Amino acid sequence: MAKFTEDSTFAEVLDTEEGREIARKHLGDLVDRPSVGMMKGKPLKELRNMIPLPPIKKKFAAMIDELTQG
Amino acid sequence: MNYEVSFEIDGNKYSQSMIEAFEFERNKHVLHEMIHLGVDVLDDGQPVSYLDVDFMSKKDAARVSLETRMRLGTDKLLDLYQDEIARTDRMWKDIVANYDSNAPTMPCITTMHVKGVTMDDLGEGLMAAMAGDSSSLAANPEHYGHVMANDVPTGFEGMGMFGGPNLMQIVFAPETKLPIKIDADYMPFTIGYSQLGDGTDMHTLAGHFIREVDGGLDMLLTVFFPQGTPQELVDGHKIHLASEFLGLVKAAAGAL
Repeated sequence: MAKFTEDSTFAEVLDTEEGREIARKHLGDLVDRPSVGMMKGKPLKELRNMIPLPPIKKKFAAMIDELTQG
Repeated sequence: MNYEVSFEIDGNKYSQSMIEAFEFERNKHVLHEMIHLGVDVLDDGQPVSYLDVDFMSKKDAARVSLETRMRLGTDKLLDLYQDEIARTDRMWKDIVANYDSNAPTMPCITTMHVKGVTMDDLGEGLMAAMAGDSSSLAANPEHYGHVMANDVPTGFEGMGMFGGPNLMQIVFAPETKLPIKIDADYMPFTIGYSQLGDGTDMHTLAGHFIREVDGGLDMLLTVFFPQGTPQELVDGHKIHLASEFLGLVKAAAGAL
């Protein structure tokens, strides 16, 4: 879809239906919870390393790749 | 899924059952506290008195504590605990009023050894807890919920088995420098700092690390409190960390 760049904020992603759908695919119910608030203002490139636990980092990386590369 | 855990705190070894013994006492503490605050605590629809709590089994105390926290919900609990929250916030503001960035921190360090749970299992458990399912409340008796405070996601919990619960914003900040040397084979999985619900810096840093070892995982759980923090809180939080991450391992193992 390549509608977003690594500089797009997570809030911009969640503001679109397709962006939210991709986020939900990778992060599940987390996108609907208060904990997502701490991520909203950050650009996607910062989310890559925000939670460095490998399995979680992998989920964020897959989401960002799909959002930015289609 | 079969799993085994053990802990080291200040050179002492703790078993899972020792940490669960603390959880039992804290579940009873929370139930007593809620009854004191006027909550109608119920067990299978029947009223539970202050005295009844002292006769509960470990399993029933955990179940009734979790069911009551879930039934009331975060907003009601915030209203009930407003005096405790205010006093705990005052304690923290007194502590940080004298903050000296050159003073050594007060370390709170718990090492956890886990067998039978993989890094991927743990990742799923952590995602579920972050998504706010009941596992985050079940993971520790003093987890009361999550709210938005000043547009920032904020945990509502008791820290260090000392004072009351209050609102704490955990700010993820991977660039934070911690006052400890970490073995090179440990990977960070949570690094950041804490603020009170109104954004006041608690000058409290947290860094949790993990490494794969033969047959399982080691976790190094660290918090660095500012000088002036009651030593009882610092020591109590070592047990809180052990309990909270035991809960995470149980969630990952499908045993919570």
